[in-house]
Amino acid sequence: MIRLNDVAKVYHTSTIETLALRDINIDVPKGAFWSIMGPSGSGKSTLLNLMGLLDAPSDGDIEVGGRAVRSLGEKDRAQLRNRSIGFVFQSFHLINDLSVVDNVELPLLYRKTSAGERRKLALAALAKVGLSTRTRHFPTQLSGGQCQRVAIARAIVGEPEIILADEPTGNLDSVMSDEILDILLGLNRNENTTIVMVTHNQEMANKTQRVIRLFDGAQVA
Amino acid sequence: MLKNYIKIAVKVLLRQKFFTVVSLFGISVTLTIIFVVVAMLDTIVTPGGRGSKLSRALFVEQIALEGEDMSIQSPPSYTLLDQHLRPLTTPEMVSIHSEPRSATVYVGGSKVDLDLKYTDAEFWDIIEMDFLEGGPYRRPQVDDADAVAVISQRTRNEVFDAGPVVGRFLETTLGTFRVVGVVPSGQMPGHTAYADLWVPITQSAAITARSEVWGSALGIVLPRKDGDSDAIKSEFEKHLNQVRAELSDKYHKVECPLASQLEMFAQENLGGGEGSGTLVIAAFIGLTILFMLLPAMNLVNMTISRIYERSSEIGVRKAFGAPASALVWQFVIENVVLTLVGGFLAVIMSLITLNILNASGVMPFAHFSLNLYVLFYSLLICLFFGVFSGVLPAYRMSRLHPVQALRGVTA
Repeated sequence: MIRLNDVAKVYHTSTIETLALRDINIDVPKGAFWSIMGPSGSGKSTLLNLMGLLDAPSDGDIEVGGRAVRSLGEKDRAQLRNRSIGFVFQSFHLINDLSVVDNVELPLLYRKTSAGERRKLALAALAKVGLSTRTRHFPTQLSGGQCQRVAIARAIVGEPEIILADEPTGNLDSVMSDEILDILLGLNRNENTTIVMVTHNQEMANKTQRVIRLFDGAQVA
Repeated sequence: MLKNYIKIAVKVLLRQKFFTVVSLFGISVTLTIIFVVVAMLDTIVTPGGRGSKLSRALFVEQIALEGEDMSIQSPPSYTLLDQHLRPLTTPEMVSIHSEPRSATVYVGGSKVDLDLKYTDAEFWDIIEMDFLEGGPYRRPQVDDADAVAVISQRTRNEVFDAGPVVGRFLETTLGTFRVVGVVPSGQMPGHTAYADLWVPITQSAAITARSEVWGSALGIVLPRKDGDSDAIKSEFEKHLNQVRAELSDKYHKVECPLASQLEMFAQENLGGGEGSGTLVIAAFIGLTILFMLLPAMNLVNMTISRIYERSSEIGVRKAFGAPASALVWQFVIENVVLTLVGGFLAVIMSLITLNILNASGVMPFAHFSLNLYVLFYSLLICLFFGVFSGVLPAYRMSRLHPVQALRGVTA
């Protein structure tokens, strides 16, 4: 589903060159639920950004759903993200000016979907994460756990094959974290969605099918 | 999509109240000034309003003579216009009238100063004024030099008691006249028509009997249709050549321009010659753009900071597949919404300003209003302003790297 061949990422500033990732070879199969672990600064988020086409590798090749990404222009990458990938971020990144249901509709705005269809799909996604009663609320009126559930609804509304979650429980207490992980596990089990999750929590990582460990930009497991 | 953009635009503008108030202030004040100036210019260059006879008319208001030891610049004489303008065959109609004279009326011991204009009967056909009472004097009355007058509403209110005044007499220092009609004061079609009372031009022998080519008469020429001006000008020019021949021993140069209001405005203000009407319009557009540049730059600046404050939103939208063009659209629409609200406020402020100007009587012959034509151009100016101040920040923002945008890094 997502394949990385000899991928490296170097960040350049005017004075120094930082090697954020090197020699990464990963092949995430369809329907897998993998996690990425490693200390701070080991390149976990960079790796997830590369998988999500938010950033381009300095070296190596990436394939998503069988398509080589290198040859795609910015517009095609945006379209591929829109169709195939849903993101869940640690700090939710909801738009506070929009209601819950409008936030969830966001990925569909960049597809040819009618307003009625968008609303229907958004409400269905919110039902899946158990938030049918909060659709008219605004993000600032919700708890952290509820915000993350809205973010998951937004990630799944377009029925992507892949969900990339960057420390989705990093800002939540243990009860809420378990709820969020259960939702992700359910999506993986019931809808065969491929999920890659960055986490610091070993217990959560243990519930996934495989753990990729990074240290200093290199894959150690 | 558009609904979504407008929805978020309104929410953002309501949330960022300080930004919104400062921007709206800049936009609405600038646009108010432009609207008021456009409305005033529109009134001056199209007397009588668009589509009226007066708006397509040409005017003769000056003759310039240059001789060996003297040069004269003055309105032409009645005789010159009667002999050389009235016989023109290309126009639909020609009217001759005078510059306003001061006439005084004594009402119960107090003195009322009035502007009196001598006109022919055709004058009333060209200026198309409504009558509150009675009607204009006609050609037989002018030919017979009847002592009749049309008065303005203001004159009626100042001189007479309540009740109808047609048939009553008005005793002035320039003669006693029987009132035949009353016209409203509020809607004088331009300075050409303005006066407090109008009487037949044959009432003044000093005007009609003057033998010189210069004097105090003014001419209005009504073309049959808009494109006829050139033909009329060249016919008049032939007549002028006759005059030049007759005066060649005294003056080597005789100019008596026949011009539209716009051309006259241009000549008075820019000293231009032929084609200066277009120059005025170009100059006006140029000045408008210059004038709008400062608040537009301010708006650009504020828009950039407003957009960068929302870098996380940009990051999310990009992550979920928003192409750069969709983001540019979104932020341009936000600015257009803002400027249209500013434009709406400006229309209200302009109406208030124009009402104050009209009531103050600074220019008694003019009644300024925001007509549909002015409103249409105002809307165009608003849109230009909105798009202009939105595109640059929106373009810069749409180039943000999604990872950096999500982190809130904007540089």
